[in-house]
Amino acid sequence: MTPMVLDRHTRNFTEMYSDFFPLVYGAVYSKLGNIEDAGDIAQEVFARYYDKMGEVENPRRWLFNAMRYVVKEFYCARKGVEISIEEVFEDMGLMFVNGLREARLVIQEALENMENFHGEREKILFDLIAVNGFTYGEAGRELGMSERRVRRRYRLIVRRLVAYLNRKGIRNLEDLL
Amino acid sequence: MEKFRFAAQLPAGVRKGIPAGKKSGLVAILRARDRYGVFVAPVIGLFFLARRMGISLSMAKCTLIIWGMVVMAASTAASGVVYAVKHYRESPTAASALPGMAVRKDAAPPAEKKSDSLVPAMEPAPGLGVVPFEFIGVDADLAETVTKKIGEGLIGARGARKVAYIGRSCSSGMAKRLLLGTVVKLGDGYRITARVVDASSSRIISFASEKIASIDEIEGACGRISQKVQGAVE
Repeated sequence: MTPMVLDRHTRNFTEMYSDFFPLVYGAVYSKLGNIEDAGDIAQEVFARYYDKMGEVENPRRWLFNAMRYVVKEFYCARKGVEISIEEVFEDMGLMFVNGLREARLVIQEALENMENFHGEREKILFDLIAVNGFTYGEAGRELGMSERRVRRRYRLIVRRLVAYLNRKGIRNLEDLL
Repeated sequence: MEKFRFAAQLPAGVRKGIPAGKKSGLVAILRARDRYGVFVAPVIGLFFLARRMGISLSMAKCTLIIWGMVVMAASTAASGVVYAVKHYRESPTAASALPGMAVRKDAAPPAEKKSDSLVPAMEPAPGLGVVPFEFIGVDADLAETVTKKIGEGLIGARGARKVAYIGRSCSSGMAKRLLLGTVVKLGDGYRITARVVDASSSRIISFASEKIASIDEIEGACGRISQKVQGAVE
């Protein structure tokens, strides 16, 4: 029997799903380059998240770890396809392909420091625009914000990140890369 | 720092396809867990629609909005049905007005309104009220027969909404005009007279009189009187 209303668990899941889906989908696609596989894997990750949501403290970390396992399972289930999960996700946490390791670590630290973001949605907003290359309008449509608001918040995030790096003694980003 | 967008940028085509895949994925997840149905679908639809429009609505608010719309739609529909049924039941020509609606012949007639009701009936007054005829030298049954036949002739000609039988103790507000008359025995024959009187001014609008030799001619005389006075029915 189908429910008349959504329970709180499902409502929370739907909001979380809507926020994180582009990130998970984008991360899978950027590594595998296949739209169909990316959609299937992202759906499987969130299906598992639905069942475990009550036990998860850090949704972002849980989702990206689950994604690694699901990708591995997905390709192991296909005969004749062998991938190295470590190779695929070696730089998933860093999201960089250039630069020295020390510099990458500094920037990674800045991006993982939640003081630079006012809430998880700002972090998602930053990831969508800076990592996945969404336009302001596209990111706004994913998160339910106007383009103007997205632009303003993104600038504030960037300003906070630059200030954080300045405090670490980094004045010029080009020197890092 | 905006110059340094990092690696793994998604192609524009992939980015544009995300919203559709996002919603279908969610529906599949909820459906697999029996959490998706006809009441949930519009809530999720509104949630995603609002996001695409740049409005961040929580699922709780979406649920409230959808349920508010459902309640409003249901109350509007119920009000419409009640109004239609009430209108149909109060209309005497309902069957003819709604030819597609079958009316059971054995159906019980609508309950008559009680005369001692505190709330007076709101039906409009008929154009002509037929008052029982007076009688002199004849029995009451004959006068009643004459009244009934003339009344039937008028109803047949002008309709039941315009002509109605009313009691002898009627007030002027019950009908705009009154049909009054007498049946008198004169020798071997009878004289039937009828007049239509304005209820408010008592002015005679129309008058008709017929003399008959025997009771057998009552039918024809009543028909002629009906024809003569029916022009006075408003």
